Amino acid sequence: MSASVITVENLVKRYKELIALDHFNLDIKEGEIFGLLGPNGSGKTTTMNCILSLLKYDKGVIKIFGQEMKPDSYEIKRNIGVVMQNVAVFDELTVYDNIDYFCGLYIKDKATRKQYVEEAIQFVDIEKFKDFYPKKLSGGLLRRLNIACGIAHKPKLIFLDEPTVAVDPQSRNNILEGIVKLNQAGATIVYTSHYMEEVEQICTRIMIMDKGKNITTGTAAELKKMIKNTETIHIEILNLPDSVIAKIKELTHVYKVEYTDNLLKVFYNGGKHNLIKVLDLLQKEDLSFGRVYSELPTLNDVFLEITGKELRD
Amino acid sequence: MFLHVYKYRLKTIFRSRVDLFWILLFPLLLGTCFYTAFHNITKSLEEFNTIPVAIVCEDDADLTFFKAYIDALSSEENNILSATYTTSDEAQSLLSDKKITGIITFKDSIPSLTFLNTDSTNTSVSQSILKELMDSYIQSLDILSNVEPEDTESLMAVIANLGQNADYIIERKLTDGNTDYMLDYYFSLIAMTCLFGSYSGHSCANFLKANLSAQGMRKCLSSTKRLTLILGDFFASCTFPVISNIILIIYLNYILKINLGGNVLLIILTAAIGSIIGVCIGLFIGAIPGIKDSLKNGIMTASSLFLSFLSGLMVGGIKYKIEKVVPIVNKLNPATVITDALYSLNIYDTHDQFFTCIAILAVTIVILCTLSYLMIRRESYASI
Ligand SMILES: Nc1ncnc2c1ncn2[C@@H]1O[C@H](COP(=O)(O)OP(=O)(O)OP(=O)(O)O)[C@@H](O)[C@H]1O
Ligand SMILES: [Mg+2]
Repeated sequence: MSASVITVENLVKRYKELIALDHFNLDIKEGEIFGLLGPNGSGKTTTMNCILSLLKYDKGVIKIFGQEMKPDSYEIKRNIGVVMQNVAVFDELTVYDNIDYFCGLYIKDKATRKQYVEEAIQFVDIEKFKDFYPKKLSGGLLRRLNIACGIAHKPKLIFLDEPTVAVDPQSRNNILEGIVKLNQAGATIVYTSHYMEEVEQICTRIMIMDKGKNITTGTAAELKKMIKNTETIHIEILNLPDSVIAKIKELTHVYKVEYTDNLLKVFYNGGKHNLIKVLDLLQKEDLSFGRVYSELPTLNDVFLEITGKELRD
Repeated sequence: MFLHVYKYRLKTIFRSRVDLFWILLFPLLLGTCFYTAFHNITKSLEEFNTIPVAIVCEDDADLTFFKAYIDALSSEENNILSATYTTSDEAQSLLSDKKITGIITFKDSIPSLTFLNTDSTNTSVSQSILKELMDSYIQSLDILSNVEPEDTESLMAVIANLGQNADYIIERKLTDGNTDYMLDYYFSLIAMTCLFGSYSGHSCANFLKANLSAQGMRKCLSSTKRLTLILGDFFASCTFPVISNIILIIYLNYILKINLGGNVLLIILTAAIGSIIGVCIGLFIGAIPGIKDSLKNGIMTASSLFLSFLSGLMVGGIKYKIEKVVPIVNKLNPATVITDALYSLNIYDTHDQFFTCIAILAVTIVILCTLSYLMIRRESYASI
C-alpha cells in the first residue's frame, strides 16, 4: 500500500448553525485520482478548503504529506496546486502573464519558471492565445487558463474543484485527458464534481458525499457492487396489460417493474440473458414493441439507492 | 518574490481602466478646467495699467510720510500709481482732459479724492482701487501716531506693510476676490488625487483577501509568505498614485506654468505621503467584509470628493470658515492637512508648519496601516 498523501480525521465544519461537514474522514493515497462526488451543497468545496487551510474548522486533524497542515505551512503549500471552482485570473494580465504570475508565487528561479510556464501553456493547449487578455477567451479556454495557473509549478498534489463546469465538450475532453496525464506524471489528484460520468471515467477511487458526510468510498466497480441492481431493461411498448406485467414480475432475478408513459422498466438483481427472456415472454403474449435497451447501473443508481434521492436535482 | 509580486501588481493597476481614469486622467482634466477658469483672471492681473493721479497739497502739513507711501506705490516694483504733484487748477484741467483718473487732495494730513463723475454708483475699478488705497492709508494713521517721527525704521516697516496691502487690494479688485483662493484650488486638487489613491488601495485589499476574490484565494494558497504578498501589493498600489501625482504636479508647474510656490520636491513629497494615506483608506474600506464592491467604490468616491470639498476643491476658502467653527475637522481631514502642508510651503520661510502637517499625515498612515494589516493578514477564514 502506498503512502497517504492526505488524511482527514473527524473533521467538523460549521457555518453558524449549518453543519457543513459532520465528523468527516478521508484518506487519499499517493498516485490516486480521488473523486469527491456529491450533489450541490453536499460539502465538496468546503472539504477542499478545510484541507487547504483556507477555512478554519471546528474540529478534526488534517495532515498532508504526513505533516499537519496549517495556514502558514508554506513548505507543504509549495507542493500543492489548486484549480478552483471560480475562475481566478487577472483580467488586466495576458494569458502568459497570468500563468507567470501565479507560477512565480511558487518558483523563484527565473529560468525554471519560464520553462514551467511554457510547459503549462502547451499542456492546456493555449499557445495561440498567449498574448490574449482573459476577456477575449471563450468559456472553455478560460477554464484551461485557470487550470494552467493552478498547475504550472508542477505540484505533487493537485486539487480540482469542478473544473469542467460550463465547458464545451472539446475543452472538457482536453481537461479530462490532461488530468489523467498529470496523474501519470506522478501527481496525486483530488477531483470534485457532480458529473458522475466524469468521475467514473477518470477516478481511481470515488467518495460519495451527502450533507457533509461520507456515504461510501470505493472504485466505481466496488460502489456498483454495493447495490442490488445489476441491470435495468427499458422497453417502449403500447398498452401493456396488467396481467403481462404480473408475469414479468415472476421472471427470475426481477425485483421491480415500472410501467409509465408507455415505457416498461424491468429491474434485475442478477442473472444472465435477461433481455432474451423478457423479449421471449412478450413474443409469446403476441405483443409488439419499439425501442429496447439494457442499462448497467450508474453511480446515480448507487446514490439513489443509498440516499433515496437523485444525484442531480 | 517581493519584486515579482510588486511588478505584476503594478502591471495590473496600469491596465485597470477605473484606476487610470480616477487617479491619473481625472485630476489632469480637472486641473486643466481650473486653469482655463482662472486664466482670464490671471490675464487681467497681467494687463493692469498704472493709475495716473494728480496730487495737490493744500497746506503746509507734514508730507514725509504720505510722500513715502505714494513713492512706494509708484515704485518700479509696485507700479500702481503714476503721480504728478501739481496745483489745484492744473489738476482740474488734467482731470477734465481725462489725463488722470482722479485728484488726491492732501489737507489736514488727510487725503481726499476727486473724480470726474460724481455719480458714486458708477465708479470704475481704478477709482475704487484709489479709494481703498487712501482708506488703507487713513487707517494706518492711527498706528503712525504711536510711532516716534525719528524712528525711521518703524516708519519704513509701516510703509512696506501698506505697499503689500496695496497688492492685495488690487488683486481683489481686479478679480472679484477669486485669486485669494486660486492656489488653494490647485492644492485641493493634489489632495483629491492623493485620496483617489483609495481606488488602488481597494483593489489591493480585494485581491489579497481570499474571502473577497478568487484571485485572493489563489494568493492565500501559494507558498509565498503572507507578508511578502501584502508588502509587494501595497507598495505597488502606492506607486501608481504617487506617479500620477508627480505627473499632475509637473503638468501644473511646468506645462500650465502655475506657480505652486515652495520647493517642487517638497510638494511631491507631500503628495507622495498623501497618496499613501489615500491607498490606506482604500485598503481599510476594501478589507471590510460583507459590503458590495460597488458600494465600497461609492463610499470612496463620495468621501474623497467630500474631504477635498472641505479642503477647498469647489468652494475656495471653505477651510478657513471650518477653522473658525470646528478646527478639529481640519486636523482630521487628510485633504486639508495636505493642502495646509502645501500652503505652508508657499508662505512660510521656515518649514516648522510644514513638518507639523507631515507629522500628522504620518500618524494617520501608521494608524490606517495597522488597522488594514490586521484585517488583511489572515490566510484562514471562518467563511468564504
Ligand atoms: N460561506 C458560507 N456561509 C454559509 N454557508 C455556506 C458557506 N459556504 C458554503 N455554505 C453551505 O455549506 C454547504 C456545503 O457547501 P459547499 O460549497 O461545500 O458544497 P459543494 O458540494 O461544493 O456544492 P457545489 O456542487 O454547489 O459546489 C452548503 O449547504 C452551503 O450552502
Ligand atoms: Mg463546490
